Amino acid sequence: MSRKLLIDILSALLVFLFIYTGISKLLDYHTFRRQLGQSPFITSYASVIVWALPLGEIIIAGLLLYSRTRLLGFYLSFFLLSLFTFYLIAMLRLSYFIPCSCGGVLQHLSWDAHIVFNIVFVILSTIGVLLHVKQIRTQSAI
Amino acid sequence: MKKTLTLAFFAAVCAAGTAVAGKMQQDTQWLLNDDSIVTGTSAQIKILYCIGANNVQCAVSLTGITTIIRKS
Repeated sequence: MSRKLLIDILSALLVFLFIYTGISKLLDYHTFRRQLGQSPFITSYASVIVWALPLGEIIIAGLLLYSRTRLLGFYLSFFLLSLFTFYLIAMLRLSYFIPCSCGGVLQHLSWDAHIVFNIVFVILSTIGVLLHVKQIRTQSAI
Repeated sequence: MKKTLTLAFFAAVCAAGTAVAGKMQQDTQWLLNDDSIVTGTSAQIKILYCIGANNVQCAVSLTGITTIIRKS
């Protein structure tokens, strides 16, 4: 499999994830807002996060669509997914009540499955960054 | 460039379609611990009926095997 095709597949997977979860959150705005309001650590920022998170996800998906902005998209995906994962782990360890603020079908996952799911996508973002950087170096060397 | 756009755009369109279709199919019925049956998304049920500890099973989906409020 060529490096370019692999990058395309990785970005398509991340685009699917971010568009799906972003739109699901926006479609279920009121529920999402209530969940964030109940969520430990971020209750005071709920009114900002309720818009910033889904819009951020859609913007990252948009960056991943075009080859010029794709590297930035991979970096931001890595950052956001790592943040989600640390937040989940922190909540599981420190909080008594854990509402799931995840979009769409992901809210049916168990917490362990959710963490594994996030880690898999963090790894995919990392591979995307590495492959993209390698491709840019190869292209500039030619 | 064209091929790349096609694949990523296809993923974006599929994701948007899946999210909207999922929203339209959200009339899941749930059996609560007090044997009452309520309708809604798992997130809504969790907020409205399942506030409390996460190690207690609170509701079981009647249309599938999904249970909510379960900290493993």
